[in-house]
This record gives sequence, C-alpha cells and structure tokens, in this order.
Amino acid sequence: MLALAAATGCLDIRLEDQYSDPSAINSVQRARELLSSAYNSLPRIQVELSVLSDDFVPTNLSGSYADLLNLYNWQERAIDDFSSTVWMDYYMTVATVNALIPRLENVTVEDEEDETALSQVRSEALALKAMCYFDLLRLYGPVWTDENMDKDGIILKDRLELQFLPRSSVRDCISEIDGLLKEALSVENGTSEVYYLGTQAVNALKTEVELWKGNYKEVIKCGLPLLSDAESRWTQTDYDNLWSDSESKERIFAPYIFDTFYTDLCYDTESGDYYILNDDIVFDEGDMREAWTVWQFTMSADTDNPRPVRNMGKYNRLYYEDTEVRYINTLRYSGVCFAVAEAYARDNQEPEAIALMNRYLAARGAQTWDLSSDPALTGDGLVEAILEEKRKEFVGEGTRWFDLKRLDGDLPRYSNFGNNISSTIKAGDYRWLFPIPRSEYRYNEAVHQNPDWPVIAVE
Amino acid sequence: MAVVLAMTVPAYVVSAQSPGKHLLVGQVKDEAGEPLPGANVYVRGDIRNGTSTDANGWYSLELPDGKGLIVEASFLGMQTTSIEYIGQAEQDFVLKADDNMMMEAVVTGRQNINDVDIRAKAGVINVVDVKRMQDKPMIDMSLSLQGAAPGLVVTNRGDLGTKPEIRIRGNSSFREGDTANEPLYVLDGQVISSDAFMTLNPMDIADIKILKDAVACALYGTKAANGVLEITSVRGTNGETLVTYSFNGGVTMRGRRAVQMMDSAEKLELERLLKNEEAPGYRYSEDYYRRYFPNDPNLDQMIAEGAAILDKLRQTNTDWFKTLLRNDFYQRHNLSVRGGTSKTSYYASANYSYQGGQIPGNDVSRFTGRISLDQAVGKRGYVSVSVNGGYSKANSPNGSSYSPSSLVYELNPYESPTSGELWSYPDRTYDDLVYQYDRTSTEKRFGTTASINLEPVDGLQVDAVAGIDMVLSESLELVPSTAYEEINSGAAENERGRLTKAKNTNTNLTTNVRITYNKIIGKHDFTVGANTDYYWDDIDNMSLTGYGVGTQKSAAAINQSLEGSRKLSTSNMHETTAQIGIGVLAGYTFDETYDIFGTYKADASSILPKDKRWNAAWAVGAGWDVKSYFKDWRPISSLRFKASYGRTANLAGVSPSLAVATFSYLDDSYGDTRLLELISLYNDSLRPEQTVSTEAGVSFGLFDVVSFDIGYYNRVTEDALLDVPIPASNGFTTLKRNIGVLSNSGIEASVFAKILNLNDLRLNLRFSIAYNRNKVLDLYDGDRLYTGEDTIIPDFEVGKSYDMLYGPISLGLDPMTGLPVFRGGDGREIQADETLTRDDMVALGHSVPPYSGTINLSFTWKNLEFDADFYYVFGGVKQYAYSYVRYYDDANKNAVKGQVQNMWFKAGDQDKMYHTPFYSSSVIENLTAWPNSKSIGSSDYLRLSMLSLRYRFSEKQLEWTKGAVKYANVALQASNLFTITRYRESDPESGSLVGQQQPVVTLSLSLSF
Repeated sequence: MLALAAATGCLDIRLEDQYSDPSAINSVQRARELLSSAYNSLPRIQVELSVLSDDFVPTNLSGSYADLLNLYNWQERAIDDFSSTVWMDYYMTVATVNALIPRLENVTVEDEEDETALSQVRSEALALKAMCYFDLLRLYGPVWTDENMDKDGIILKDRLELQFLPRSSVRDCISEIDGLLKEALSVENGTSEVYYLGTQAVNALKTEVELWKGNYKEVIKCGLPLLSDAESRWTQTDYDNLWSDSESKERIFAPYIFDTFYTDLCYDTESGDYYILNDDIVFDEGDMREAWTVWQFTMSADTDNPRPVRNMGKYNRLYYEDTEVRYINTLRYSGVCFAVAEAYARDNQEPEAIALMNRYLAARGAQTWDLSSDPALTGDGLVEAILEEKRKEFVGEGTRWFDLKRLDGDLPRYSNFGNNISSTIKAGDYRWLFPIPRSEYRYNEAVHQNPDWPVIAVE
Repeated sequence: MAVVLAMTVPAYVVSAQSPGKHLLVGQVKDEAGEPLPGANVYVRGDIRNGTSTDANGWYSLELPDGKGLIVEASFLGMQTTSIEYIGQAEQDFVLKADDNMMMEAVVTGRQNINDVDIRAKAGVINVVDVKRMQDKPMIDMSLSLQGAAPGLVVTNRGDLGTKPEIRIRGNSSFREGDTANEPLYVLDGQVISSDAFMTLNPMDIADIKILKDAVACALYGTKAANGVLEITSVRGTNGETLVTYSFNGGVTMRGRRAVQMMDSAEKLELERLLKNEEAPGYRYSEDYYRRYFPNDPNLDQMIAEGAAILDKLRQTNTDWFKTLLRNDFYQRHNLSVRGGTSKTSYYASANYSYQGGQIPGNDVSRFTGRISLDQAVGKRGYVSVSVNGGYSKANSPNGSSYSPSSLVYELNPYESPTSGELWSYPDRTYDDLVYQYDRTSTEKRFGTTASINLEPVDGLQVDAVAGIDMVLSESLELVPSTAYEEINSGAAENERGRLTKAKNTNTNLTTNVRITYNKIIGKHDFTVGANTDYYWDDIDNMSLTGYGVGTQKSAAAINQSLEGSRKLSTSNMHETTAQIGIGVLAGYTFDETYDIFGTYKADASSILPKDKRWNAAWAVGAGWDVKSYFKDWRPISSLRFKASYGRTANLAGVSPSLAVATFSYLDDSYGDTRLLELISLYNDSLRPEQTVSTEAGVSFGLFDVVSFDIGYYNRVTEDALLDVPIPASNGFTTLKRNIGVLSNSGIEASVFAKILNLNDLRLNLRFSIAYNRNKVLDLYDGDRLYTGEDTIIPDFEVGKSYDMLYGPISLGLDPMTGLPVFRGGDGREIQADETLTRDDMVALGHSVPPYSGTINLSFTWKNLEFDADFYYVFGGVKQYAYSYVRYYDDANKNAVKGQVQNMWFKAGDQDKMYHTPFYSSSVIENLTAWPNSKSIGSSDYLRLSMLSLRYRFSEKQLEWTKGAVKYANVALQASNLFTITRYRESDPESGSLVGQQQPVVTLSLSLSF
C-alpha cells in the first residue's frame, strides 16, 4: 500500500488553466491579478445611490422603469432588492481579499523589487477591504454617534470559509476599519496607476472616514497635505478629462472598467432620460462644472411635444455619445477639499474653511466667497454652503446619499419634472439603514435585521 | 476436442417436414437460464446435419429416421452437451461453462475483463436483448435502450439529436444532472464517454450488460456508483467469410399533435372576448368601434368595414402543425464482413444512418466504421485489437431563446406564410420567424482497444486491456444577420450575425490488468483474483463567439475589428483527472449449490487533495441454488436465491476546485492586469458521497415454461452532496456540502413465458416492471432544505421523496371573480390574492414516474417472425404548461381549441377550467409560481416502442442464387408508432410541446453472402 501511495504521485495533476493550492498564488504577478479581480468586483452603484438622493427628479418616462421608480420612491421592496446585490458584491470583494491575504505568505520573492511590490499588494488589499467595510457600514449601520456605538454594524469577515457570523457593533467595525487603514498606510505606495489604492488614496479614504467619525482635527491633519498642489490638479483639462479615458490629475482613485457604465438613466436617445437634474442645482456663470454636469437636451425632439430639460451630463452624456467609460471616479482631490473645508468650519476655523473653499472655487471658475458681502457664511450657514458646492461637484456620482444620511436631513421626493414635492423621507426614517438582505438572514441565524425592516419568515 | 463454429448470424432452418424425417425443436440456454444465440446443434458424427440457434436460443433440427442418434449442442466456452434422440419432438439443452474449452475455441475471449464468471452468480446483471434493439428504426443508440432492462430508465429530453437522460435505478445524488448520476459506459473493457456511447453503431454490438448492484459494479471501483453499461462488440468467427449487407429505409412522421388548436372563427371570437386591440378579433369588432368611436358619424361604416375584414380572416384556416412540421425519411445502410480461421478472426463494418426530425432543419446523420482482429498466441492465449471511429452530425433550428417548433402553437389559423406582417408577432412576417437560428453539432469519435488474455497454467488467467477513446464534439451556431433578432439589435449592418463555435475534446484512457486463479477440488470451487487499473480522463473545451458574420456559417467570417459587447470572445476549460486503483476478489462455490463472492477495491483519484485521495468500493454477495436438491423434479425447473451488500464512494460530478482553493483567469482585465478569480468557495471538509447497496433476489422457473425474476434493492447515498445556499456575507451564495442521506429502493420483476411452443408456431411473452421509490432519510442541518431565498416549498424534506411536486389544493374557480380558490392547510378557503404559506402546500405527486416497464411479445410461425415491444411508465404527474391558454397580454397568439367555452369571462360563469383573463398583478404569484391540484395531470403512458415483422427466406428459397446469398430476410419495422396517455398536453415523457419521439416506419432488407 505504501508503494502504491508513492505511485499516486502521478495523480498530482497540475491543471493547465487553473491554479490550485498550495501553490496557487506563488508570484507577485499572480497576487496582483487576484487583487485586481477584487477591485473589479467593487459594486457600481452610482446611479442607484443618486436616484435615492435629491440629485434627480423623475420625468414622464420614469414610469416605464418601475424598479428604478420604486427605488426613487424608497419603496421597501425596491430597496430590499437593491440591498441584496450591494451586500453580495461588497462581500464578494471582501472574500477575494480574504483569499489573497493569507496566500501572500507563499509568494516567492526574488529581489527587493518583488518585496516592495508584494507589500504594496498587501497594503492595497487591506485598504480595499477597509473601503468595502466603510461603504457597508454607512449603508447598513446607523450614523456614528456616541449613542449608536453599541448598535449593530456589519459582519466582519476575516477568513475565506463558511461562517455564520453576527453583526459586530459599530464601535468594533470602526476600529476594524481604522486598523486596516493604519496597516495599509504602514507601506509607502506611490503607485502610478489611479485604479490602485496607493498611499494618496488611502489617505483620502481615511479623511472620509474621519469626517464620518466627526474627528475634525484628524480630517484636517490627514487631508490637508493632499491638497498642497491642488490648483495644479483643478485645471480645465483635468476636469474635462475626468469624463474621458484620458489621464486626469484630479483623480485619486478610479476603478477601471471595460463594461458599459451608467446606462440606467436613459430611456432611449430620442425620448430622453428617466431622471433629470434637480432644479436646485444651479451654477454661477463661468463655472467650468456646468458644461459637464448640466446637459441641455430636448426630450422627444422629433415629436409634437418636445420638451427642453436639463439632463444629467457626465457619464450619462458619454453613454448618449457612445463614448466608452474607462474610469469610475471614486476618490477625487475636490472630495478631500470638501472634507477638510467642512472640518475647518465645524472646528471653529471658519476663515481657513473659506480660504480653502476659495482656492477651489477660483479654480473651478465660480464666484469666490467673502464673509463681508455674505454674512451667512458662518456657523451652520458655512457648512451648508460647503455641502451645496459639494453637491454641485458630485451630482450623479453617488456621494450625496451618504451626506444626507450623515447630516440627518429630510429628503424630498418630487413628482415628474420636479413640479412639486410628492412626499418626504424624514430624518431618522428606518429606510436610511439598508435592510439586511434575505440572502443573509435566511441562512444566518446569528444576524439581526435592522429596525422596522420585515423579516420574511418561511414556515 | 472438436472445434465448433459459432455462427451468430441468425439462421433458420426450413421446418417443413418431409417423409422419413423428424423435427426436433428446443432451446439452448446457459446455466443462468439465458438463451444462447448462435449455439450449434447437430448430430454427432455428422456435423453437416446441424443448425444453430436463433437470437432467442431456439433451434429446429431435421433428423433422419432412426433412433439412437446422439444430438449435441455446443457453444463457445461451454461444455458440449449431448442427448440421445428417442423420437421426442422437443429437447432443450443447458450448457455449462467450461474454462478448459476456451483455449481451443480461439475466436473471442472476454473483452470486458472485469466480467469474471464468478461475478455473474451473485451480481444483478441484466442482459439487453440486442436483437430487439437493432430492430428499432431509431438513430439514437441511447433512446433505443428505453425499456431494455428493468431499472434502466431512458427519458427523451427534446428534439432529435438531444442527449436523453439515462439512469440506472434513479438518481443517486441530490444533485441533478448527468455528471452526478450518469452510469459508467464500458466498451470492450475501455471506459467511454456517454457522448461516445450515443454514436455507436447498434449493429456492431454483440452484447450489452446492465450492472446494477454493488457486487456487479464493485470491480469498477468508485467510478461505478451509478451502475455500469458494459458493452461487448461483435468479433470475428473462425469460419467462412460472411458478408452481410442490410438496409432500412422509411419515413419519419410528425407524431402526435400535442394539443388541438383553435380554428379561425373560434380564435377571432376569443380575441373579441379578451378585448386586446393588438388582436384583430377585437380591433375590428363592433365592440371596439362602439367603445372608442361611439359618436363618430361614420360608425356604421366602420363596423361594416371591420366585419368585412374579419370575414376575410375567417376564410383562412392554416393548420400550422402540418405547415411547420414535416414527414421526413429514415435510412440505414450497414455492411459487415466477418470470418477467420482457428488462429485468426476478423470483423469489419461500415454504417451510414440518417433520420430526419419533425421540423425542417432538424436531422441526425452518422457514419461509423469498425475493425477488429483476434489472434491466437501460442496454445494458451490470444490478443485482440480493435479500432473504431464515427462521425455524426445533428442539425437543429431550435435555439435556447428561439424555437420554430413552438410556432405551431403560437401562429394564428387566420395567418399564413404569405400573409405579410403577422398579428401574432407584430412587426414580423413569417420569414422573420423561420431561419432565425441554425446549429450544427458534430461528433467525431475514435477509439482503439487492445487486449491480451493468457492462461499460462491451468486455472490461472492473466488478462490485460488498454485503450483510448476520444470524442471531439463540435458545434457551430449561427444567428444570421437576416434574423429578426439581429436586424433589431441596434447593431450596425457590418456587425450583424452571431456565430458561436465550440470544440470539446473528451479523451478517456483505460488500462486494466487482472489475474484470476480458479481451482476445483472435489466439490469445492475456489476463485481468487486481483487487478490494478488506471483511468485517465481529459476534457478540453474551447469556444468562441463573434459577430459580423452576416449569413456565413463560418468562424472565418467573424469581424474581429469589433469592440464593446460585440467583441470576439473566447472561453477555455481544460481539466484532467486520473484514477489509479487496486482490487482483490475471492469467490467460493460448494457443490455448485452455494456460492459466496467478495471484492474490495481501493481507488485514488486526482480530484481530491492528497489526504482524501484513497476511497474504497467493496461488496459481498452470496447465492444458493436450491434446484440442485431436486434436480429431476420437473415442475420447478430452476430456483435460485441471491443477496448482496456493498459500499462505494462516488466522485461523480466532483471537481478539484470544490475541495481546494482554485483560481482561474477571466476574459476581462483590470487596467493592464488580467483578472484571476477564485472559481468557487471551496469546502475543505468535503467528503465523497458513499453509496451503500443492499440487494436480494430470487429467480425460479416452472416446467421450463414460465420463469420469474424478482429482486429488491435499497441503495442509500450517505454524505450526499449539494450546492446549498450560504449567508451572502461569505462572498458566495452557494457551497457544495455534504448535506444528508437519501435512498433509492425498489423492486424489479420480470416474467418470461413460453405461451405457445409448437413445431411451427411459437409465442413468447416477457413482462417486466420496475418500481423505484426515493426518499430523503436525513438532512444534517434541520428537517427541510430550501435552496432559494423566497421559496416556501422546501427542495428537500426528511421523510419525503425528493422528486415530489408541491402545490396548493385548488377548489376550482370562484364563479364571481374567475380566480382560483385554494384550500389552506387549516381547511379554510384562500383567495387568489392572499399569500400562501408553507402549510398550504401539499405533495401533489412524483415528478419522476416511480413505475416503468415493458411488455415484449415474440411470435414466430414458420419463417415469419413478429416482435412487438411496449414501454410504459406510471405513477407520476406533470404540471401542465398551459402556455397555449391565452390571456389579455398574449391574446394575439393562437389558443387551445375550446378555450372560449372553458374560460371564465364574466361573473356567474360556472365550472370553467381557465381563470379570468383579466387579473391584477397581486395574484400572479398564486397563478404562476406553483402547480396546483388542478393544473397537473398524470404522466402515465403506454407506448408501442417497436414493431417488427420479419420474413426469413429459407435455404430452398435462396437456392436460385446458387449459393451466392446465404441468408436473406425482409422486415417491416417501426418505432414509437403510438403513445396512449391521459396527459392532455404535449408529450408525457419530455413534458414539452415540442420534442416528442417521432414515429418511424421502415422496410428493411438484409442479405448475407
């Protein structure tokens, strides 16, 4: 038998197009390739989050896309369906990272270059996981106030294996995110690729996290260094290039895609879009953001009832123009600017806030601020003004929903073309916390549903 | 010892009695009671005065007047038996195996070297009546096995050329599908794939054995957990060269109308009632004009014009069943040459077959060729070599998203191929519906096997076989640029036309060396043996899909400059697995009365990681031949008991990526980096399924007239595997896990009766039935398992059958609302818009019929043979699709005849079959998500699967050929002539409106030179 056992060496068949443990991930190259599939599986939910926020208003076409209209109206079932793909996709990314990290031990390193590359892969993997947790916690958990610290956050997964885990407390989730970012930052990663999470990107992410924590000093400390040469990144060319496959110095992190993107807004290129820009969003004359954000369009131009509207520009316009999107702008220098400005404003450093905002506004070609001519630019008024500019910068990019949730405001829902407000989602509404999807709670008894969301029992 | 010819070409001797001559008739069988076709029966010392038995072992021998003649019966590998002729009219022979004889008999040895003699005693092995299989005019080898043995269930799944489902005693796994449940196919000791089996030439097959229980299968180890089909090919003879040509030609027919559809008058009336203006019956009706133009001054004129249009439509009555489906033809040409000497024998054959399907564009054709050579080596051995190959091609116009066959039930009778734009398909004409899709799949098969059989000393046999079998399956699928789908895809003209080309190569390599030693000491008969085998299986698939081919069915026409969603894409999969095994066996027989047999085999497979690599298959069996106590008592002509128990690990359908982390590349990239992806969440505690079989059987015969065979089996699958849902936070939603225990148990019985046994007239009847009951015995995680997030019906439940169809009890339609009312678990009435719960669901019946069987009838009168096979299944239910019942939304497609009468339209309509066409979305789930007690029907059916009327020309009738033609026969043969069923819709077998087995009627001619 022993001899036979030896003879079974012929059964160690190496698969030609598959890589199996123990030597599946044995080179830096392959580790990078696995990490890339984690990057690639990041959910692309910019359209849905924008529809859920006050970026858009419906049109007469919205009824033809019932699922998206239900989402606009915050219908339970629609949010539940959306939630299940979001949850799944983020945890898929987490699973890939969890597959990668322990296997980095087996990677053979031949020289210093390999060593560096490997530590960068590791740093990025940790940062990517932190990013997933941060998004999940903002979507599924309550806002990070002191009284919410012991409430249910999200499931923290450390291992790639079947587990039936409970949700960790918000406190534990935050400290996990902090730990991951800290470890990621322990490696210097000046990657040249904007679709990798280099040190700049991790710092930008950390700035966002600190802002959610309300840790304003930390926001300034972390974010300000990133803005040292911001003017050189806020040029017209860099802004235009954001919506193209060319390089833009304004990007900090932008996942790369080959697929189509942002296709859900368009009914057809003749009739127009299901959703158009909210009329609240207006730009100063000369504001370079307007040309790419507001896209003047005539719905049903060839029919008896043409209707001029302000379509969403950016990726949506690229879709109309049949131009491929290669980068999904996820972290940008202007985002860091808004975080730092808001932190200044809330940390009683209002002049610094205004000064920083003026650097940004001037670069964008918008009217700069002057406290003497606009006395509202102080206290809450200043914060509001900063957030208003932030909304203009990021409309349609899915950031607004997070700000609305963090700042605990009411959210109006509009009738077609924004003629009037049809309903209001109140601050504190249970739907600000996404429901734990059935695909989780049906098979995991340890997990608890968020308050007021139904648990569909099967008995 | 005399060398005797074994002529297996059925021969029949003239039975006309001449003066001074006597006729002796009877049957030659082996010890197990199986008839021996091709055995020789002759007068001792006068070998020219002899004959050979037919396919059922029958002979008829003319004897000269005179008592005291000795008549002998002989058969290869059997001891020759003789009797004294004392004027009896009937004499049967039972031949015993004779191992010593084998050395000199040359010709063929055991090709399937696992077919050791001792195995046959305790194991449950059915021998397929190959002759009946060959008599069926059907191109599909697998489908022609339907009904061939109790417990072997073959189910047609679609149109001609679709691979049927083949199971031995049901599914042994929770996992559905072929990979986990398919039996193992072995041709002359060489493992072949099921695709290769499908394309074999039935005329090249001498013998098929169905191995069902653990004792029979255990020699094949862990590969055989789902049973084995052991096929032996036709070999040469050591006699005169015989050239046989046979031809079958005939027609293939449309078959049974799945449902009768409406004529134009009824359809237009239905449309009026459904009130959908997309349909002309409403659009041009008075109702429509009165509703939308009540005050129009030209109302009367409009109504009159509408009525004229409707009248015109009523004049057309197209029968789409006849228009779209066709009669086609079937043909088979087979040429074989066999012969040899006592040292060398050979067999060669070539075959061409064609069968046309019901829908134009659907057909299957096949060429096969085979050569085999057997050569004696010295006095104590022989070697055999065979080479076989085949090419088969199947065409189908039915694609996954588009099926012209289904148009039969969609196009309206008032439409015709020339009527321009269709109401049933707005914006399309008839030409936009046909020639939309075209698929050609070809299979190129090549196999070669070499074996050597030696007996260096008496009783010691050394057998070895090695072989390779390769199947290259290719498919070419075209959606031409002229297809409606492409024209309306929005793609530019030079981007239209989609082509998919796939090549899958499956290579099986087998080596098996077996040593068996047999020693007889007095009444004690010992057998011991050992073997080692190695199986290697390689699957290499690649496919590409490209656009811009126009109407050209060629990968070369793909436009490679396209980007985006129409970019050329490729996919590849390559998996190699190997298994090495070692086995031992031992058997003992005492006084030819008691026998015991045991076998153990350990197999190591590359599929599992090193620490789990070795798995075992073992079995023990015992037999008791009671007849030996009263050998001379005629009423009981045989009586034998046997029982067995065995345990086998099953690796079918398990791939390496399930147990260890396995990564593969995706087509896409991220920036400039390729994407390496984890294939699935792996389960490092995965164990192979274990199949535990228990078996008991008895066979007995009465007066040599009736014989019975009854067996009980229970096959328990432990650690059954299934993809089960897991919390999504794991990053994957399913994981293959060992989830429970299931069992298949059942009874198989057959009766064979020689009802008439006269000189010129014989009538035999065989009746067989198999019952299979499957049950979930245990689920490791609770009593029920749901594989969907929302399902309220468990997929598996402890104590229940796993093929059960669940749904609510329907109380019929509420005459006021026209919607079904259900009876809840608590007895209360539930309206259609209420949500049903788990408690309201009841088991409606088995989706897989538990009973199946055959009735075989054989009748011979002089030179005329008549054979008929019936196949039946019962005990199952199928859900009606009701896809031909039209509601508001699909009012523009044709509907089932009688719908106007049977549908609820207004409050007060009583006793209607079909619910209201006007309903809100709140009731959809209850209308469509589950079957209910009224939307299912029994899927029982009885089919005349084969009918053959054959006339064999006697030697006298062939005399004029001056010996040029040795044998000749003509036959009228038919398959699947009719099916009797209570199932109201379509085909009770496949359950689809399209794709039933079509009737084929042929004439055949066979000539041997």
